Amino acid sequence: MNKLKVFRAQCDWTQQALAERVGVSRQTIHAIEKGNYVPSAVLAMKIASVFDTSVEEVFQLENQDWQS
Amino acid sequence: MKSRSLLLPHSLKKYGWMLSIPSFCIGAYYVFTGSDFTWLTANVPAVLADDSEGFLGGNCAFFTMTKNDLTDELIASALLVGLYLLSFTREKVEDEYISRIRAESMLWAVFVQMTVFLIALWTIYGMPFWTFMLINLYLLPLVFVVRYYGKLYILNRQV
Repeated sequence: MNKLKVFRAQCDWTQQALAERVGVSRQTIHAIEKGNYVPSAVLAMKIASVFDTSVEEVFQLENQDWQS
Repeated sequence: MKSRSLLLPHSLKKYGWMLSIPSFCIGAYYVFTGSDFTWLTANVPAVLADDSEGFLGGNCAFFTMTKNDLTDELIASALLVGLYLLSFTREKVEDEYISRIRAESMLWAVFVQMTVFLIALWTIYGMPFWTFMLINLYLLPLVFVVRYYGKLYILNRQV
């Protein structure tokens, strides 16, 4: 689960604007927001960094994440 | 952290489309109609040439010149280079999600090709089997390209 959309809305950034800030494609931001893609640790830290917050604030573990 | 990438520059992608689409159409026409372009027949150097029936028959010769219709060689080369460029050129923004789609598409392509190979082993016999196997060699890059660009197209539509 992630609050990427919430953080993005708070900063009034479009998906494209956020994508440019972290150096990925708009499709990647869209996929993360939809929960279709779990970013790598590096990308998660980059995203948290541009929002000036911690990774845990943006990304949270769910119960299903513990099941392989 | 910057990982090394074996991918080719994005600017080569357009040449991939320019080579693969016409050669695929001409190749399909060539395979299904069996028509030759006789003016493309020429004497070419060969490492191994054999015009007898079967594998390495009595007329087998090494390092020789042989007369050959170059239609299939030209079409196959253009298709192969075109698919190679389409498969291994970078996107404008090449990130980890694109890399994952690329890896998944390659997995799909290998799975489809091996399944088709297994089915063909038990359903196609004689000379048509070898013809089919030759075509099957192109199935891997073809399935990869269709799946990869199909997925990117769907993603672009959703965004």
